[in-house]
Amino acid sequence: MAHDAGAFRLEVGVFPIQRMIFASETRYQDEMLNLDRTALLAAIAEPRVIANVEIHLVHPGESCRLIHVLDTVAPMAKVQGRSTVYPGFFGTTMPAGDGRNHLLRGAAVIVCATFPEPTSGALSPVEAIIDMSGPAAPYCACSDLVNVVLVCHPTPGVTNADFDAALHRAKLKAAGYLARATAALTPPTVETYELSPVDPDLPRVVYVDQLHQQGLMAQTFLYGKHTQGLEPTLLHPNEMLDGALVNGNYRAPARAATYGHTQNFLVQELYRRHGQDVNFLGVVIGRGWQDSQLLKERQGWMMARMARLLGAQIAIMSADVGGTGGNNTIDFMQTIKACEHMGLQTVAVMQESGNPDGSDPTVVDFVPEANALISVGGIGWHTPAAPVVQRVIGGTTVQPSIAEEPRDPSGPLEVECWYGAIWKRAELGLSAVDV
Amino acid sequence: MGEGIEGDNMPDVLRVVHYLNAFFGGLGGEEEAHTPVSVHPGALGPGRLLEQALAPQGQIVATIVCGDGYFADHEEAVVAQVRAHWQTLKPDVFIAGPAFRAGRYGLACGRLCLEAERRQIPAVTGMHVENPGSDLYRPEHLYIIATEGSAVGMRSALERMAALAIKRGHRQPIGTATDEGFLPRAVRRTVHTGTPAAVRAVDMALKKWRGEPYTSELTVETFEAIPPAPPLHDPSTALVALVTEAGLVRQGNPDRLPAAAATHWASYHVAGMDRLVAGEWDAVHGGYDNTAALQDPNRVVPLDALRELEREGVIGKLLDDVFVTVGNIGSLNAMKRIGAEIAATLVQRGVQAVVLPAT
Amino acid sequence: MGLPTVLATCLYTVATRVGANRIVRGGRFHHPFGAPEKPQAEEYAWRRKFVEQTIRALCTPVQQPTVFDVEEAVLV
Repeated sequence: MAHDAGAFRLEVGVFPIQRMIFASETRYQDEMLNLDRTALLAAIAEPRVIANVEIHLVHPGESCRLIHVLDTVAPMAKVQGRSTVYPGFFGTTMPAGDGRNHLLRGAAVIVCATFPEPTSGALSPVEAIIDMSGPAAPYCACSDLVNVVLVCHPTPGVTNADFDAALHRAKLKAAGYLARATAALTPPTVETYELSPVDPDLPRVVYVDQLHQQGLMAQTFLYGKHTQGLEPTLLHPNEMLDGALVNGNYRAPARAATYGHTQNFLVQELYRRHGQDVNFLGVVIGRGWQDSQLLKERQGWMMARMARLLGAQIAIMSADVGGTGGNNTIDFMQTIKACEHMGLQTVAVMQESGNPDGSDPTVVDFVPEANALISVGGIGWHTPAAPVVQRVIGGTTVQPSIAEEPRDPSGPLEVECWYGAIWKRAELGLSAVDV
Repeated sequence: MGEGIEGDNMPDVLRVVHYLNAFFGGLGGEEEAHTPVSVHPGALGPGRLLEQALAPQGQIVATIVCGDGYFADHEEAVVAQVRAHWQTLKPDVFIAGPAFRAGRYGLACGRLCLEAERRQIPAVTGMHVENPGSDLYRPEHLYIIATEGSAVGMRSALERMAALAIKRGHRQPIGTATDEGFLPRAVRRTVHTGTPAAVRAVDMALKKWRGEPYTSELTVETFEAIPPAPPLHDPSTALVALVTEAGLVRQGNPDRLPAAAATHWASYHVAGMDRLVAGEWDAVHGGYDNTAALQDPNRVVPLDALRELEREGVIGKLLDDVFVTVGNIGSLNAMKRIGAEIAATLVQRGVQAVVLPAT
Repeated sequence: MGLPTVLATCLYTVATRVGANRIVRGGRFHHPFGAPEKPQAEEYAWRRKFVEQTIRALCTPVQQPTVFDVEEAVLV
């Protein structure tokens, strides 16, 4: 027996990407990736379900707009170790978080698609747009990355569920294919992630991450399985770095993405400060959007007890990679309340509701225990209108709201559905003040 | 008053009208609470301190005084009188209070400042955060300087009220609530902190952990209490209406209700229907899984049960129309308007009670 | 306006916070008047009982936000 799983020591070999071009052979050299489009297509093909895949390359600064964005994924592959990245989707799952990955930093796989069957209500994809240049670009996740965009078209007669499953497989295979171009190469830098023992006087901090899970179109996967019945559990941060959480949530374009889970902003910060001013214990995850008030209150206690049993003294919380809204806020607030009642000091990162002039209540629900909040401001507040673009990828019309007619996506747009806007705002350091 | 153009129509010295209750105005003796409205040239009582703080940019041209009890008993009449005085006095700025913790005084200050703002007269008041006037009038976006609980804090309150009043009178840019000292007034603005949220979060956690002072970036609005409507005396004769925010619409969404951020409502005829029939309705509210609702829309709008109660005479009659909007990420102002419009329609049609399923 | 209004929801903390004065609690938020886990006849009986409770709430004087409980749906 090898005893080589469960050390939770992860090395990440980082290969910077400045540029990508299509070429006859996939090759990484001098921060550029030559991409053999045909080979990539062959690697990710799902012909029974996906009729065809357009593959596009887009770079920051281009006059280009991506529409019907569903998810973005960091290109990575495990080159040493028994597990895989994005475990659970292809075969036996090993605990992730060990071994060595190669990561293409500065790049992402983006998947765009329109689902074949009509949907309504909460379990519907919502329009999500990325502008690669212009005033809206800074508020779009991945506008600063070199993106391999997969526009997937369903085969006739396929169901939404089957199409969705295939999209997950295709995007994850693409992410792996790109990173494996570097498999035989020596990484310029290697980052090591492990929670080494630290000064016992440092405060013990747990990251409490509320996941989005309501049903098809609004899911988060843990080790390849959706989290509908998830009871709060513990993750080592390396498991998040390794892609144990994959996004299948398309109704909250501002918030969630697989990329946002693997590059989680609070995991990164807590790791950076582990041993300096915090003792980072790990991550408690649970699903939000519980179905009733009683279940929401229960959820709060189930999250808090997990954090408490770990011995945490401080709980730093976020939901949906920084977003809270709708009745999900109730689960979030109940968790804050329960953590405080169990003796943990909480800080929570939230977005604000309200209309663009900021003159509406900031949160749907609140508890007095939520006395330490970080705001990333509100979606749609002061996002400049986006101009006409030369190139649109992902479809021929956009429909930011079901109450409006679909329209030409290349024109000027005043919308709020910028992809990943919440975690972008978190990254940019945006907040809001009373004026 | 001209807006935005420097030097155009800008007064040299701001004409300030000050409102005080009879106690602070030094009027009325023991019955001061019931003193009616009166106007006095120049400053009275604490207005003298206020005038010092306003000088040289502002001058109190008149003080309006009213007893808090009189105001409470004759609110609309007092408001009308004060409006008439403003017409004569033509203030550049209106300052009311400070009311500290005095509830009726705070409500009077708030109401009068609201009336002033509606007449394009910039207004400033001051009171303690727990004054009922604060709860009621902050959501109206009034500028309310945060004061201490009692007149011990008079000087500092007046200084901050004066400073803010001068800025407002001169249409100068106003700083944040923290900078200027006013209570959050339900208006927020994006700022660039220069620090990523994750860094701020861990920093705040450590301050909280160490017992060091920190400031939460989000405060929460409280909602005004709504006086409850009296109960139905005899449901067996009542006309009852169904109103919902669940976004239950006719198949095809003919009124194009959005999945979120609704700004309008619709009504659907249900006369002659004993129940809602699956397939004839859709649920477009984007915040809940509509599977159960689509299988049986009565699970959201219980027409079947209400019809049975109507047949049995438990309720008098169910209104022929069901009123619908979408309560998902709805702006409060839009929902207030939608609610008021639906309510007005219901009252006009003689509805006596409402059942409101919410998701 | 003075129209007695009863809010039927399971998210009662939001309702009390915004000042709804008569609140009847039950169901799940996907279907406040539904209990799809029950067989059809039983579900209808439950719905009728819940609707009767909403009418009773309309007839009850209240001074402030008041939650009228119907028995909580059985957790699945």
